[in-house]
Amino acid sequence: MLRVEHLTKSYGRRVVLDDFSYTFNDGVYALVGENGSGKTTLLSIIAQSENAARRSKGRILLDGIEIKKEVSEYQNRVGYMPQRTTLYPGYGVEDFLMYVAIMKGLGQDHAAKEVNELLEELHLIDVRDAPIGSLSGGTVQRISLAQALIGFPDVILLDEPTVGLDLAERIAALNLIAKRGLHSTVIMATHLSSDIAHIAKEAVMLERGKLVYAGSTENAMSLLA
Amino acid sequence: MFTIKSLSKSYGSNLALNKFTYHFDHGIYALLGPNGSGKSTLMNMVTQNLKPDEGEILLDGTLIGKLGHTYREKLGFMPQYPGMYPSFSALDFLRYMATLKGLNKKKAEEQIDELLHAVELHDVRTHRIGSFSGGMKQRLALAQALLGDPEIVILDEPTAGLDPKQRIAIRNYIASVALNKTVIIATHVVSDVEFIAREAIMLKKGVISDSGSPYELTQKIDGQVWQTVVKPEEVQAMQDKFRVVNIQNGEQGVILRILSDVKPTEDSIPVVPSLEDYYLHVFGDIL
Repeated sequence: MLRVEHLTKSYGRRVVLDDFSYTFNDGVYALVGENGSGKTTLLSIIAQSENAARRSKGRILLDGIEIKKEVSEYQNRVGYMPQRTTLYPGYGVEDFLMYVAIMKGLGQDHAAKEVNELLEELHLIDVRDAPIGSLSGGTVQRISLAQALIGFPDVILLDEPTVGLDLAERIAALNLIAKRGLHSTVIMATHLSSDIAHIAKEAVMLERGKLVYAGSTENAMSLLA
Repeated sequence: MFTIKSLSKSYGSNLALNKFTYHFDHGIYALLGPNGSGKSTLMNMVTQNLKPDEGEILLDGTLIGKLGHTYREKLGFMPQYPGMYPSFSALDFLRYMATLKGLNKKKAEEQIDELLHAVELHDVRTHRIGSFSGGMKQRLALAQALLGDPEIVILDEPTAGLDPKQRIAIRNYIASVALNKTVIIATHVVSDVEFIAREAIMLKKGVISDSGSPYELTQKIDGQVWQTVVKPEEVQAMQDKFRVVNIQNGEQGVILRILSDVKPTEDSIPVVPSLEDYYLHVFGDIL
């Protein structure tokens, strides 16, 4: 269970997150809102992505324990897929995923097994040895999703995970995300109503950094329209 | 009336488009297919950015090559990644495009005003494009494509990067202007076009694998789309056996949507196929 309490973040005078509080259980939450509403900031703070977390006010508790006290242990329980990343262009796909796995504390054998399964699930087997920089945007997107899922994290934060994927790839990615949502907390920022409708159990809506709605995805969709 | 006859293009040994033939009337046509299926190649040839290796494109019976600049005046194009001039304001940019299109200045001003309202950029029309978000640039690119009231409008992923509210607004606007135009939309977001397209063309590795109205296409898989509820631990096995196109956690268990010509489980119930289901039926080998 992930509890966010009174999270506030400003860049200079611009308030990007405004007293955001919410409790997330297991399942897939769609984080929605217009471009600029604070979705990316919220995800990057929960991910304790350095710059974002600095000088943000409020608390984040995972299973009752405030994460500021247990940062490295927390990092092992979180998977984060940022928006539009180029990852490490010089790394081979499999090498990169193995690197992430080892950094997350998985043993060599365990890491190899998990990485192999992810390569299969996300149809990356054919490019396992290719340098990431040589691959198309859609493929890099799938690699970025894969690295967020390594170690079966309890909290999975995905920022626009299906952008640039064609429909079949998108469904494959959503299926995988949905399965993880059966046992983890997945918070997925998306502007695709089909993503929301497909797999989210609940929608959390931001407007200018404030929580304006949380509840059924149907209601959220009509509010967005 | 817009006709494409036997259009082909290769890049080296890669036959990207193979004898594409189609006839377009007024209305919205959806061009559907995965990355690499030939959509962009087709569109680049329609917009004359690429020369075909063989085949013809005709507007009202005349080869577009013979129409010269008249064709470009009747054509509107919204590319997937609009390259814009960051220091131009939205208004300046549209005025510039109007000039390039040879439009009458007074008429252009009226149209520009109307279009800026339609794409919800009127309030920021004097702001620099460099300050615009991706979604705003997208909407400006759509406005530019509609300048001059073109007969043929080509839209490449018009709603990518837009939030749901904007997507619906853009979709409705496109539908409203399509009445007396031929609009060809290439997109991955099948749900965006399902209710506005008169016909969908499925492009698979450079070849039309099927085409028809959304209704006709979905009828082809009537009785092949199912819904069933399983336990979480059964999900993987179902995915290994069937083409699962949706997984959603529900009250009673995990709800699966499956494409299958046989009933997957005892308690599976048939559901109404969507155009998305049909797309996955054609292109969803990876599932």
